Amino acid sequence: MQIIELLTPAYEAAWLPWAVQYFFLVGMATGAALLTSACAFGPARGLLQRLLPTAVLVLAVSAIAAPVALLADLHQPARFWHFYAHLTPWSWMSLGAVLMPTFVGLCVLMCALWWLGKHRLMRLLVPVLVLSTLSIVVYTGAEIMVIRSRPLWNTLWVPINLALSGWLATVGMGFVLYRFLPRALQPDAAALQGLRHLGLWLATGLIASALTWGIAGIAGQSPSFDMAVRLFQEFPVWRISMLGSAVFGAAVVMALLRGEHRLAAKGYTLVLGAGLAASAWAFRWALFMGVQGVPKFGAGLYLYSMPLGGEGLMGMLGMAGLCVALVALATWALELFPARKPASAA
Amino acid sequence: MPLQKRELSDCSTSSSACTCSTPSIARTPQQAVTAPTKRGFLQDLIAMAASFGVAGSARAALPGDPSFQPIRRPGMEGKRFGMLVDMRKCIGCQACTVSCSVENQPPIGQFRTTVLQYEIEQAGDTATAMVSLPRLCNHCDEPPCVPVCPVQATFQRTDGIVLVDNERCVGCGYCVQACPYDARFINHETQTADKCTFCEHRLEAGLLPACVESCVGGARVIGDLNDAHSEINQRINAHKDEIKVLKPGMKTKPHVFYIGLPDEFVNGVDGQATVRLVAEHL
Repeated sequence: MQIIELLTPAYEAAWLPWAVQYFFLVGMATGAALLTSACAFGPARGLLQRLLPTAVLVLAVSAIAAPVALLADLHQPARFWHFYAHLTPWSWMSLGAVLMPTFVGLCVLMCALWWLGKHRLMRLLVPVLVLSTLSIVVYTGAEIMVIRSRPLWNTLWVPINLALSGWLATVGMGFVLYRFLPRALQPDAAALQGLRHLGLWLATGLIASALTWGIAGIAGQSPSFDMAVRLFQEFPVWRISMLGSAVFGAAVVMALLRGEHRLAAKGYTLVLGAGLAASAWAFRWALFMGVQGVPKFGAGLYLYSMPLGGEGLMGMLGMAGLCVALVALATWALELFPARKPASAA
Repeated sequence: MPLQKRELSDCSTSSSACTCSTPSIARTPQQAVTAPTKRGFLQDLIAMAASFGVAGSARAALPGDPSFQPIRRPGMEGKRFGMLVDMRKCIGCQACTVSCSVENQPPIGQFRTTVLQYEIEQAGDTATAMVSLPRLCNHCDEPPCVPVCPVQATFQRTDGIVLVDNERCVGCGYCVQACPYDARFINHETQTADKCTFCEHRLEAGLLPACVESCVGGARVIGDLNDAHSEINQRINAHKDEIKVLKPGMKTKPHVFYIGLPDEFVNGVDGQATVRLVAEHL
């Protein structure tokens, strides 16, 4: 029997590309917060301390830009105060409305403490920041995972992958942004190698989690895996995307491995960093915009034509512009008002 | 089960399994109206605890629990509305689509109800069968769209009708994602979530929903499932074995029931897609 659809309406994506930007930036921010926390405990002049300014810069940029994208994804952004007027403890998104500003506040405070050279206070703040970071990792993942209507989201693999790939983006942006820091604050070769090792561990974790998902899917009942297989078999666009991301992922891992002797070249770290960040971004694009194109009832796929305005291309360019502006602002501020030397390290 | 052509598809002889349990239809009013039940009381307690900022309750601490529903808001006393769609009587004329749009004025290209139309080719049978599948909000008993709303703008009433307060809605689209039936959309004009309301404004005035009133074949029947003598209950009882709902596996307990729904359409359609026009191009 063959069923041919004659007349069905188109359903648009309710979550716009803003959501992709938000989950990209917030994933990066959680990684930067954890990295900053770890670096804060490094011995004076040690490898972790030399990585600290880079981690702080990534943290400042991503933590400030993320909520902007989140707000813009609301179709009624001016009503954001409704989140606080009607708190809803049984909705992850409502919890997020409380957890997110807390996290951003703590991140900004951490960056400020670093800038002021308050090393001891930074270490005092670390437990609170780590706890807040974990709350963000849990809420952003769970928010997607609880949606039963979309099998591709309704799996533990989504939050795990969002977290790991977000942290990989932190490493990537570290590689991209460190060059904009004043020379004295830039990480040396050993610190860059440390960042590369972190990237390798995260990539290994991602591969392990993907393999676990695949093996579990082949072994038994996994609606998300079954759906992925169906999309791979039926739709060339999904087939190309999945194969393309596998190839791109392998290329990024190869670049990480080859980085052992090449990190001194600034062009190499730029390409490697951009590649790492791009893989995290592309995963989110497929997860949000791609999956929203999979009909819940009908056949085929919904076409997504990206608007050129604020709801699409301009929105994404705007977010990129905001990040560039924040980097410029932060690094310029560091030139004008250099970070104070930590009292303990002096 | 092989698909029967419409003219032959009187399901009184059909052997298809009933996918929705009859007890969920023929309930006593006490069960349908949640307030006086033990569960309703518990939910009251949880909501009260939550409103005082006591997030210590297990339910409130575990958002996303698929069995949790916020307390229903007052609706038409003692009623539980449902709809029966007799697909054998639907001719796919889209009068319901048009009358709903005239009544509820959604933006051009967006629909609260519509009739999906399919052509079926069966092996060894040269004649092509047509299926017209009216679609609308299922006003589920366990609506997954309601608990996800971060500002409680979407809610269910004691009469089962699921509504959106579009002055409170922030347009986050979370409910649109959570609905397994693609029954919700973000209204282009209001920039808030929009959906079928069972024309509750007409029901309150003692009128039928626009789609029911305009249906030329009488395929849509709305009524009070708590009233044993209502037409909907009588027709459901007369066709007990053929009543189906969409995606029963989602455990949403839909309250739009279908007669003559082929098994191939229960959990979504696996077939050849049409060229869909994007709303902005219409």
